[in-house]
Formats: sequence, structure tokens, C-alpha cells
Amino acid sequence: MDSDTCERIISKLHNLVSLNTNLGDFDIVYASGEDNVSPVACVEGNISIASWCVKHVYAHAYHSSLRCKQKLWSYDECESLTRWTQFCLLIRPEVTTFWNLRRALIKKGLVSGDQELLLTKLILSRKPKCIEAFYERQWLYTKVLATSGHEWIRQEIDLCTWATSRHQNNYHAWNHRLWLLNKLLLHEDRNDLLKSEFESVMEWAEVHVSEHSCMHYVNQLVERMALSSKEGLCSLERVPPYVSSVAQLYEAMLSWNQNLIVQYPGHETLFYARKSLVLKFQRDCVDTATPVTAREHLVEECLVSGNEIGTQSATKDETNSWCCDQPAFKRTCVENVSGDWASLVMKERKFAEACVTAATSDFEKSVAQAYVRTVGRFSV
Amino acid sequence: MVKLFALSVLYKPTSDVSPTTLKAAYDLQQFSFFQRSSIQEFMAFTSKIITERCAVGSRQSVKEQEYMCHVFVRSDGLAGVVVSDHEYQYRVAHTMIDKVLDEFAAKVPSHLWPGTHETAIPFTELPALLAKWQNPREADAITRVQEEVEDTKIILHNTIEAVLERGEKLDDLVNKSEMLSMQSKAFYKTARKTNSCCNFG
Repeated sequence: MDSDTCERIISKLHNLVSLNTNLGDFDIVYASGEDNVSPVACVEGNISIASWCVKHVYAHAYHSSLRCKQKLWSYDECESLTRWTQFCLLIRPEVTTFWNLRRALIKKGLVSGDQELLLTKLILSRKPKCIEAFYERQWLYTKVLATSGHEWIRQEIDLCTWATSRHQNNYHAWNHRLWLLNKLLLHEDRNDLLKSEFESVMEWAEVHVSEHSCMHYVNQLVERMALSSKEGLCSLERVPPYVSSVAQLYEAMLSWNQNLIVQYPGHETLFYARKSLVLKFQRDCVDTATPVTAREHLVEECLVSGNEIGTQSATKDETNSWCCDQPAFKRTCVENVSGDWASLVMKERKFAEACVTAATSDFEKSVAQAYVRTVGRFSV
Repeated sequence: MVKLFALSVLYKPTSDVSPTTLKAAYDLQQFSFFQRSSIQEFMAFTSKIITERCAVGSRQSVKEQEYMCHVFVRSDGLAGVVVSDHEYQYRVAHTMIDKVLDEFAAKVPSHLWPGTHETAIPFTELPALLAKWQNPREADAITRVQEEVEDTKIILHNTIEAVLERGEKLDDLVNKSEMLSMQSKAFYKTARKTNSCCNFG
């Protein structure tokens, strides 16, 4: 295939992308290339490219942009570079070089922030789990869009919901959402924000019971609620589940989780989320006199649960400071353990045993037994 | 995810006749625009295959990659197939099939079952039923569901290959099928290669 044809295909795609503001999905569709039709098509706002031409055009766009990268850019080349990198990224969004070229173009003002948002959304429609696209959007926010208010972040949360329903266990989308939440918490009224976020996420979580990333987000949200109320920045009575204290908040979450476990037996995620809730209860509601052994469990949990990467940096610092506790601490605190904690642990043990008894398959049983072992390790 | 993708009613008068689809409804919004038609074709194709291989009066649930197909063939030849994901409880799915088939039989007289084209069947409630059962909790009181289906035996299969007769291969069936377009067959081949659910990226 000659380079003129490649250029024509790239330009056509570029025109379609830049003319339509309301684009749907992008995808590569199978076509043998025997029919004499254009490989780029637009159906109801959704753009497709035929599979037969992708290999050749990608090679052309790839080599052209890399050649361009090596020398000083003239203005003409920048325009072509915009098209080439756009094409390459639509096909292979994993290549960081192209993203770096894009960022250089944005900094020079040759690509606008809106154009880039549109491109990343198209990429996400094909690969909803693309971390590079999420990262580019975060970069855009910090560099270009920060002045345009927080309206954008609100829309971005909708984008996360869309991406998470497009691909199961979409860790990157949930992580992006957590990033957005942290940004919003700095600027908006916490009561309203936490209320709307809590309602929408809980509804989603109830029909996605084996999504660890989602459950982790729920727990993070609850943790932020507890923290905000401690700092006096929000009142728990005005935010669902409408309780009056942090301890009650965790209890409400535990009973919500319990209903899900009973209704959907055999999902490991729910038990992990439960364990995390119990440990959060212990950290936030039980008197500072917490047995060292239990704290070790918390450390262990942070290290084991890979999906908690999003908060790792924060938790790690805390855990490090706990590890430095003097050995003498252990003796005194075991004696001071509060009654709340003991009764919660006893309740958890009973519930875990009940799960084992109610299990109808080997898998359900093994999942429940793992939880029995977990709660068995908590010292009362 | 707790999700229903497809609900179809088929007719299979005797075990040696290939079943015909009487009515089908799909919920494929979460898939990419260009994949929807292929996925729909495949769900119709799979529904037909497993109904064909399901004995009259028996209940089966077949696991295939990230999907579950639940099938039940009544003694009068009416069959129901539900395609869901793994999280949707299979007891609820089978209760749903029962209810849907009862409703269908009450609305559509049995003389219309053989030989009527899908579009001519006077039964338009299927999409609404599919939407209603999306959330099992709202659809029916969960405890009642469990009581009803607890006694009946549901045969579980771990792959669709387990349902096929000896010597049959899914790849061959896909290649031979006239129900599937070229586009869908290509989609099947690439989907096999890039089953991306376990990838980090």
C-alpha cells in the first residue's frame, strides 16, 4: 500500500473525529478488503476502520511520527503529526511515545484540550481498561483544564461509570474515580458530594458483587465519610445511610455487606470487603489501645490485597509507624481492649461459621472457611 | 456483575427436530457498538445449540467463558434460554424461565408454535420481562424463588463442549453455521485469541 493511500485513510479518520462532537464508539471491524469500499466508516456516530488496512496504515503512521520526532518540527509537520499520533493511539494506545508527542503538541497549543478529551474517550470506547487514556485525562486536568472549574470532574465521574460497565473489574476506571473524588473533596460541599456518590456507587455495587475494585472504592468512600465527620466537615446524619456515629456507619456497611453475602453466596470479593470494613472499624472506632497482633493483620492486609494499590502510599506510611511500636505496648493494650471490638469479633465469628454451614458447594465452603480463619486471627 | 444478556423462547417438538426461535430479547448496551450484532448472533446460535442438546423436561446451566446459559425444555416442547453472567444466581434464572414460559403459553396459543416466523408471534413483553428480571431482588422475593426451584435438579456443565455430542466441536459448528455472518465468525476467532478479562491492562 502506497503512502498516499495511507495518508488519505488517516485524513479521513481525522476529519470524522474532528467534525463530530458527539461521537460514540470506535472499533476495528473485520473486512477482507475485497470490496471496493472505503475502510473508514461512520455509522450513527460510531466510527469503524476495516481490519485489512490497519497493519499497513499503522506502519506508515508509526514510522512517520518517529521520523518527525527526531528533528525539529516545522509547523506543517505538526499538523501531520497530530493526525499520525491520533491514528496510532486509536490503534495502539499502550505506546507511551505517542502520548508524549501528543503532550508536546498540546503544550505548543496545536491540539486543544477538548480534542484530546474526545480522542481519549474514543480510545476508552474500544479499550475501556486503558490506563494511558485515564492518565492522559488526569494530566490534561492538571495542566490545561484546572482553570475551567469542577464541572468537568462531575462529567468525568459519569465517564467512569460508563467505562466500568463496559469492562468487568475495571480497576483503572475505579482508580481514576478515586482520584476525581479526592479532587472534589477539596472543593465541594462534602455533604452533597458524599451523598450523591454514595447513592450511585451502592446501587452499582449491588449488581456487581464480584468486583473487587468497586468494593474497594465503596470502602474508601466510607472511610472518607468517617474521616470527614471526625474533622467536622460533614455530618453523617445528612448522608446515607443516615446514622449518628462513625461506629454506626461501619455497622450499617457491615449489615449491607452481610445481606449481599447471604444473597450471593460464594463471592470472595464480598468477604475481602468485609474484612477491610472490620479492620477499619477497629482502627477508627476502637480505643487507641489496639492489640499489636491485630495491627499486624492490618499490615498484612495492605500488603496482600493487590487492588489497594491506589491507597498504598498513604497506608504504607501509617503501617510503618505502627511497626515501630515498642514491644511493651503489646502487654498493656491487650488488657485495655474495648467491649465493642470484642462483641464485633464474636459476632463476625458466628456469622462466618453460619456461612460455612449454609454453603452448598465446595467453593462456597472454602471461601467461607477462609473468612473463618481470618476472623479467628483477630485477638479479643 | 449480576446481568442478563439474552432471553429467548424456542420450540422443540421432538428431540430429533432442530428447535426454532419463537421470540428473543437482548440487552447488549454494554458492548461496543460494532460488536453488538455479532454477540447477538452468537447468543442466538448458542441458545439454539444447547436447546437442541437438552433433553425434554430437564434443566441445564452451561458455563461458557464469562457467560452462563440456562435452558429448560418443557414437556410440551416449549423451551426457554437465558444468557447471563456468572453472578446471576442460576436458581433465579430457572425460576425466571418457568415464569416466562407460562406467560408465553398463556398469550400465544400452541397451534402458532410450529412454523410461525419470529416477527409474526403476538408476544411483545419479552424485552420488558428481561428488564424486570435484571435485578433479581426487585423481580421476586428471593426466598420464594429458592423454595420453588430447590427441589428440581439443575444439571451444571462447565463448558459448552460438555453439552456437545461425542466428536462434535464448537469450532466446526461455528464454521458450518448459516446463522452466523462472516463478520461474526471472524469475531469469534479473534475473541478466542484475545480473551482479555484476565489482563491487567
